Amino acid sequence: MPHWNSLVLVMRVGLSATLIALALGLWIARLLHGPEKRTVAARWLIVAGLALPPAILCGYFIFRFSGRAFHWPWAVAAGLVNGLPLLSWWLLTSIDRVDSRYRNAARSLGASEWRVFLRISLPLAWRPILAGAAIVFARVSAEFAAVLLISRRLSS
Amino acid sequence: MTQLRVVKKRPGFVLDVELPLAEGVTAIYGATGAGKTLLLHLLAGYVVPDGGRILLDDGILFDADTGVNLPPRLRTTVYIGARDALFPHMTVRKNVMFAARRLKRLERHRRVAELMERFQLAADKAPRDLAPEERLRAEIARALAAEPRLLLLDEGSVDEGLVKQIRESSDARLLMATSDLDLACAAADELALLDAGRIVQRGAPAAVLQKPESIEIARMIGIPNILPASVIELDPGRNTSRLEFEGFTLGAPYIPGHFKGDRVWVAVRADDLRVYPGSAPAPPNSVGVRLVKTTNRARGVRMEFERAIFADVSRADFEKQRDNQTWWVEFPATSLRVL
Repeated sequence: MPHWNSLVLVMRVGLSATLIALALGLWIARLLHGPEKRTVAARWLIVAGLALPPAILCGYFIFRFSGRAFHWPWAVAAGLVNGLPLLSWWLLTSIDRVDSRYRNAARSLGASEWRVFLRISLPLAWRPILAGAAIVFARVSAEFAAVLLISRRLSS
Repeated sequence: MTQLRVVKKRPGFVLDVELPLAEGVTAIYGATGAGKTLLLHLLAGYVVPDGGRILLDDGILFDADTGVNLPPRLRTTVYIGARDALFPHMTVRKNVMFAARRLKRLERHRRVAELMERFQLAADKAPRDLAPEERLRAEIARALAAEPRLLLLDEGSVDEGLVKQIRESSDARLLMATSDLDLACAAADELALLDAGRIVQRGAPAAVLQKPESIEIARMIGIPNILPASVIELDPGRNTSRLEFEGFTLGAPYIPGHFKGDRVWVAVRADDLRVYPGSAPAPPNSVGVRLVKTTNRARGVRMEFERAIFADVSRADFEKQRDNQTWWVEFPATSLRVL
């Protein structure tokens, strides 16, 4: 059943891209978390990443780097190009929205920035983080499915 | 030495405070917008001052000249705000544990258990299930678990008993912003009056309330009778003086540092005045005035007379003679404070 194979492939690509984007996104969110000037500049870079056209990138990645044979990790990479900025931006804003009095309280109780991030910011923002991950999963899967469909049509 | 001098500019407002912090409890009293919260935020390190220097037990927390600015986690100051900041995703016990991380494991459990008991906290409840006063107690317990050297209390519903409990379980200095003079008198060792970003007077609470230094301070601490007068007699030998007000004269103790003919402002607390019905013989050092209106107060009745004289009397005293129109208002000589 070729259709089932396609579905499994789309799921695999979507999930892998989401998980990697989540891990990298959290790391980026931790790095950029704070009001300093340089982090503001870095935040705009992320927005710029969001402007890359996803379908074209996906196609380019899949067919340029896969050569003749199709390798699914390239599809994950393509998904990441678009999913990572989206999720990082989402994580940053959801963590920013945690009331600063909790973070400040934790800091004045002697917690380091990492501890504040892991014990306070993340647990208080887990709902929006989950929602963001779901959206990125949906988007990456949808883009990949579309590209896959068109490429099969073209090659058959 | 613990001393702070901070300057912070905000649009339309400048906070410029110099204040040595004594051991024990210091209360900062000021109207809304006087800069109390901003001052505490500057000390906690949440806001960076534009200038000045903060010393805590000889350690520098902030120094504008050398660029030292310790982050909040190294300051050993804990700030407790008007809105509680208990971490909502942890139980009360975990909240307190979070703060006690500096202690060794065994010591930590002992200290946390002790604090939970002292502040009567339900360990496994979530912060949202607590009543507001329990939340405040939990937050104080959490703050003390971090063993701060300076505890910053911002308003809230702190009462005398709670301040006493804090003093018993910690030797941290306590700086508390309040708009309750009774609490400041009852619980603080030192009172500083903050007005529009500046400390206008400080000292022992009783002394500050007894001897306001200016009209603004007298108004700030709720003295309604502020009357212009001129000095017409001074007798250092008998320790007396006479002051002429608009339309009447009163005797007062000798006023050092003034000459005959000086124009002065005189402040009199409303509850220092005594009132008698106009039908009675005139008491000494009094003035006959007509009653303009009365208002009910928490502790009695405030009577407003012509010439802007206010007197607070007990409700029972007022009810006895409420139909009077003219009254004698007696100014006991020692109640007159020349500003």
